[in-house]
Amino acid sequence: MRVLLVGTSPPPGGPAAVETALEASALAAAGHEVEVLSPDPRSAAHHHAPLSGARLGVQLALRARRFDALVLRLQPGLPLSPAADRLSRALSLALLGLALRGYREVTLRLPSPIPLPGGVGGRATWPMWSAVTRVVVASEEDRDRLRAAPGLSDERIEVEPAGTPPGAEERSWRSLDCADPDLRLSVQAVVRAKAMAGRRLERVGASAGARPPGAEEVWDDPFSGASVVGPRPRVGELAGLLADRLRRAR
Amino acid sequence: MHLAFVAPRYGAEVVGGSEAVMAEAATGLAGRGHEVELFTTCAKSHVSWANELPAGSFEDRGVLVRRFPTLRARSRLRAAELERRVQRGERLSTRDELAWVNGRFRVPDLYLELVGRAREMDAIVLSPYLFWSTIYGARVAPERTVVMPCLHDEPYAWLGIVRSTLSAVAGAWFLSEPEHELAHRVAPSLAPLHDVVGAAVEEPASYDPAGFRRRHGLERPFVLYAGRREEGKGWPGLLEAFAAASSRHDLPFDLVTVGDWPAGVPDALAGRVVDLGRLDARELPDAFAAAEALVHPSVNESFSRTVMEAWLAGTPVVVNARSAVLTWHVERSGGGLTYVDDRELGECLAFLAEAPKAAAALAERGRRYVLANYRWERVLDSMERSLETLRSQRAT
Repeated sequence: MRVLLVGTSPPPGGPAAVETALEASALAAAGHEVEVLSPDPRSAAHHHAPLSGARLGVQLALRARRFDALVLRLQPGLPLSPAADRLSRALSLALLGLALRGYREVTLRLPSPIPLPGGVGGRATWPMWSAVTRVVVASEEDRDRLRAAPGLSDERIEVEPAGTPPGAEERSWRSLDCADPDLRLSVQAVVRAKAMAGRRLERVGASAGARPPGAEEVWDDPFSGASVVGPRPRVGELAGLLADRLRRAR
Repeated sequence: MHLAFVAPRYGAEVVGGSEAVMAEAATGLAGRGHEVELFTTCAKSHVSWANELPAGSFEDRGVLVRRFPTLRARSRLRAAELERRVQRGERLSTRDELAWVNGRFRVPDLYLELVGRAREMDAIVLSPYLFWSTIYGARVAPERTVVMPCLHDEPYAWLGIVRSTLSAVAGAWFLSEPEHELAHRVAPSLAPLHDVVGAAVEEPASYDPAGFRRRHGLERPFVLYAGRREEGKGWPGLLEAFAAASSRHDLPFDLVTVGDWPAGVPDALAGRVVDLGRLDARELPDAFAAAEALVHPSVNESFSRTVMEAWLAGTPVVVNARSAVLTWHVERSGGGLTYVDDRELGECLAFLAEAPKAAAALAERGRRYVLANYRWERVLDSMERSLETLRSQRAT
């Protein structure tokens, strides 16, 4: 799969940037074609572009045809700074929501606290929440907050504590190095990852809307709000869908 | 120095973290040549506060212990209603807050003794924060009073009378850094002379894990819960989480529990949970040494002696990640793991089962942490320094 990963990336670094790089590396190791888009021109990303405010939506829309999947790491300033006003918030999120529909799979990663000034609710956030395949948050508290978000069903929210190394859930307990000065951190990361993988499986099993590998996708119709079984429409197809709705309404 | 320690309960039959720290600190300071008196009640139970022990004085390990009878509120209904309101986090008037404190137990004789003799004392040490003996005792001679609150982030901590107590006294002793931080949030104008003195645990001369297993017929490996089997300590939640973890993983462990109060083990877990009831204090170290891990589900902790005792015995710990204090110890020491839910508890137990060498390496780090930070010599040094400062400040 062709994956676009969007977020700050190293160098110079910082925990969020390192996580972006680790995730890109893990996705590439899994056989995906990965490209990174970063707002920092100093970084070693494939692409650099300003991603604040409405510019994020524009940049994603421009690249949508080249990628199957998008992993978007929201951060302060990407797209909204803590001081963003209501108009800027509404415009940025509406454009972002529209752009996300250009990708078949969208993973939204949210650090804690969730960097959305004005909160996770409100009409302005609906286009974004309804367009994502899954949202990954850093804590159960954030998951509880997101339950109130419009257009976002519970089974699409996953908890993955920050710092969980990719693939940790596959690690064997016997591979641990007892002399490792960070042994506790290593064990704790594997505990978190294994538990998270278990929760994910449980949700997939429990939710009628969940999609096991190879099964049909379930997505929320942006016009009626109903769940629809089948491939998620792209932007162009959405226009046709809207026209069809209007015709039928008449 | 002439010191008065005031604890709501005292004695070998009393189970409680703050009571144990107070008793050992008093004994330790007496052992260093200070004249120490310990004022307490005739109660054994922190629920009934009934006068089960005789009033009067006696000497115990160099400390002059004075017991005073408790009085209970006339209107239990009013006390229960106030307790519900406090638990719901309602803001109470000062009058209602005082009615709540008075509704649990009162010890007017102890108070009067303190009033009469406060000037003889170089310092009065009170603990824990939420009882009549501390709230009222702190008003007797605040300029020479130190409160060791053993504060937890619970509704009681946010009462106005607790804030005013922590602000009015001359000093405060905390058992851990998270407790210290919480105290600053609870009482922004905290007693000026405050310090994280910590607490300590004694290392027994030897451990007998095999003998413990044999005496109690424990043939399977086990994880241990040691403490009161009550909601406030997270016991019912641990039972549920252990059941869920056992259903997901093929765990070789039983859950052995020791402590006060009925364990209330559900039938479905009858074969996997072993209740040994209350153990003799001399046997408890063997229980820690025999366990594969100590599981500590409590959120409301200010220090946690059981975690220290487990580490000292070479046993790793698995603690509730929602407890700031337990997480702080585990992160500083590297001696255990934290869990947020039954899934993570299950993974922690699976790790213990599958990687005993790594688990032992964690435990060793915990043991080094206790030996480096929580020995009585070090804790008593801190307490003495604090008391000397208090005395010299008062003199000037």
